[in-house]
Amino acid sequence: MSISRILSIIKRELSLGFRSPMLIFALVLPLILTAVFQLIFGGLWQQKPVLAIYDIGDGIIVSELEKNKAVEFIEVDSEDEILNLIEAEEVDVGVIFPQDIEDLLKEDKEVILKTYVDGEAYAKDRAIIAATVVSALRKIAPEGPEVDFEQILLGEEMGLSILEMMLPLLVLYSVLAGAFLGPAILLVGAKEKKTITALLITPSSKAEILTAYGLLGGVLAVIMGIVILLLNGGWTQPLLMILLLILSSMFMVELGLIAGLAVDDINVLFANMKLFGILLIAPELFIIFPKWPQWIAKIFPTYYFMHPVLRISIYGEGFAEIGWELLVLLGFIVLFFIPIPFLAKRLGK
Amino acid sequence: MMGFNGFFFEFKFWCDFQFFLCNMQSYVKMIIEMEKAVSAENITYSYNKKLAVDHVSFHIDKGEILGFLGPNGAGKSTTLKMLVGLLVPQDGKVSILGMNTSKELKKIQAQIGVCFEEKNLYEEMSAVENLKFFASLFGVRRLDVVALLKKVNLSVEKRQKVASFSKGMKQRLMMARTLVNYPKVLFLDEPTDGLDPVSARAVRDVILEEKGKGATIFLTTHDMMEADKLSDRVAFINDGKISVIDTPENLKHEHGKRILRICYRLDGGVREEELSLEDKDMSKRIDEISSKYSILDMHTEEATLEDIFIKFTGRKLVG
Ligand SMILES: Nc1ncnc2c1ncn2[C@@H]1O[C@H](COP(=O)(O)OP(=O)(O)OP(=O)(O)O)[C@@H](O)[C@H]1O
Ligand SMILES: [Mg+2]
Repeated sequence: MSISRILSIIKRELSLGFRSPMLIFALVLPLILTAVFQLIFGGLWQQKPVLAIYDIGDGIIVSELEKNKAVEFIEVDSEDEILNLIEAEEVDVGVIFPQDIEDLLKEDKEVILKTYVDGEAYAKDRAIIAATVVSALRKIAPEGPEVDFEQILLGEEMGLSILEMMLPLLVLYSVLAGAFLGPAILLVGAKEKKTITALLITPSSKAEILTAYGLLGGVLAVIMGIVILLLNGGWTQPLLMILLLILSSMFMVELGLIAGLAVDDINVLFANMKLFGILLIAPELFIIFPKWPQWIAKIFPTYYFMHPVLRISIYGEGFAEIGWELLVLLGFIVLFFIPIPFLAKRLGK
Repeated sequence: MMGFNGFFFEFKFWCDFQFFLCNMQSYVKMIIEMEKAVSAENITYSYNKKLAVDHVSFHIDKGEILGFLGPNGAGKSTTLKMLVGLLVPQDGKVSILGMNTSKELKKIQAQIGVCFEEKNLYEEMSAVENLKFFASLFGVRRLDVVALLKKVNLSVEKRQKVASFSKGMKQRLMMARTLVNYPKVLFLDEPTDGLDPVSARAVRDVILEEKGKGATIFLTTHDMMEADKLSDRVAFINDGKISVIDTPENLKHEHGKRILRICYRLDGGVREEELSLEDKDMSKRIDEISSKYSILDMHTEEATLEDIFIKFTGRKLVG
C-alpha cells in the first residue's frame, strides 16, 4: 500500500470539482435534501415556542419573563382562554401563576404551577418553556425555587416534530450519498470508461484503488453528516456523534464498494438503488410509527445508525445507552468486509 | 591397477564434471532467459468457455519488435492482457524481464508501458493533467510533459479537455501516456488503428524511436504493411493459435512465391502475364514474348505478408 498513490487518486477526483458526478452526489444531494425537508416540514427558521400566561397575582412574574427572548408570550385573563388558545393551536403551553406566588417563593415554599400542555407541542419546545419559567422564578427567589409543574395534557401525545423524526433519515441520506454512492459511482464509472484498466497496469494495486475511493467517499460522508446535523439542529455530543458517523460511513463505504464491484453499468446501479434503498431506510418507518413492533427495526443494519442518531441528538443519550448499538454496527462492518476481496478479483476483466 | 584412491578420485571427478555441466546448462539458460524481455509459455484464456487464446508460446528478445498479426477476434488483445497482468492465464505462464507475472506483477508493471485498444483516458481532464496523474502513480516526480507531447507530435491548448480531442489526438496522447514511466517493454494494442496517415506515421515514428533507445515492443495489428515495416519478427495468430513466427523476410522468402509480371501489346490490346521466378521455363517464355510482341512493362513482385497469412490460415487479415 502506498499512501502517496492513494492520495494521488483522491487528488485527481477532487481536482475535477463539480465535473465529478461523485462529488456532486456527495456534497450537493444532502444539502438539497435538507432544503426540501426544511421547506416541507419547516424548522430551519422554526418559530419560537409560544407560552400563554394567566397571572392571578400582581404581574411581577410577567415583567420578569418579558426579558426573555427564547419564548413568545401571550398574557390572558382566564383559564378558559388558555384552553381555547391551545385548541386553536396558537399556544404550545399555558401556565397559571397563583396569587400568592411571590410570598411562596420568598418563604422558600413549594410552588405548584398548573400547566396545560398541547399534546402536539414538541418535546424540545416544552423543555425550553419549562427552563424559561424556572429561570424567571429564580430571579425572584435566588436560593432556588421549588417548582412543581402540575401538567395537564390536551389532545394526543406526539412529542417529536416531524423534522426531528426525519433527522435520522436525513443524516442517513447524507452518509449514503458520500459513502455509498461515492465509491460505487467511481468504480462503475471507471469500469464503464475502462479507465480502471489504465489504473490497474500502473503500480497501484486494487487495494489501493478501493481504499482511495472508500476513503474519499467516507471522509466526505462524515463531513456532510456533521454539516447536516448542524443545519438541522441535531449536533450534540461531538465526539460520540463523530464516532457514530465514522462507523456508519465505513459500513456504507463497504456497501458502496460491493455494489460498485458487482455492477458494471451505472443505470443498473441506480435501478438497484431504488430496491435496495427501501431496505436501508426501513428503520425510519419504525421511528415514525412508534407503535409498530420495534424489534423488527433491529433486523436492519441501518437501525444501528439511525436509532443512535435520534437518541443522541434529540434525547441527549450517551455512550452508556447506545454503546451496544455501536458495537453491533462494528460487527456489521467486519461482516461486510468479507466479500470485498473476492469481488475485487473481477475488477479489470 | 586402480586402487581405491584412484577410483575415488575418478568418481569425484565425474561428479564434479556432472555438476559443472549442470551448472553450465543453467548458466547458459539463464543468459538466454536474460536476453528475453518477454516470454509466454502455453498461455491460455477462455471467456465463459469460449476459447480466445489456446496454448500460445513465444518470446521477444530484448530490443526487438514482435508484430502480432491477426484478424478481428483472433485473440491479440486477450494475449496482450495476459502479458500485462490484467487477465490471469488459465494455463501456462508469462515472464517479463525475468520476473513471473503471477509473482511480481506490480514490480513488472512499474517497468512496462501499455497502450490499450480502447482510448481509456480521463476525458474530463486535459492532456497535461492525464500525463501528470499517471506519472504520479508511477512515482515519476519530474516528468517533462512538454517534451513528451512534442515527441508524439501532439499540440494542444493547455486547458483543452481530452473529450474535445480528435481520434488521432487521443491516440497520440495514449502513446504519450504509455511512455510516462520510461518503460523498458512496450505493449501496444493496434496503436494506429483507424488513424489518418499523418497520425499513424507520428505513432510509428515514436515506436521506432523507442526501439532505437533499446525498448522491447509487443505490437498487435491487423495492418500487414505496418507489421512488415516495423517488426523484427511477426507472429500470425488466428482463432487463438499462433501458426508461425519468423522475420518478415524469411516468411516472404520461404513461403511466398515471387513472380514476374509482363505487360505486352497483343492484337491492339494490352495483355498481362504472370511468370513464377522459380519456374525453369521462365526465360524461354520471356524470349518468346519479346520476339513476338512489344513489351510495355516488366517487373518482379514480392509476396506480401497478407498472401502468406492466407496461405497459413486460409483467412484474410481484414474483412
Ligand atoms: N470480455 C469478453 N467476454 C467474452 N468474450 C470475449 C471478451 N473479450 C474478447 N472476447 C472474445 O475472445 C476472442 C478474442 O478476442 P480479442 O479481443 O482478444 O481479439 P482481437 O484479436 O484483439 O480482435 P480485434 O482485432 O477485434 O481487437 C473473440 O472471439 C472475442 O469475441
Ligand atoms: Mg483487440
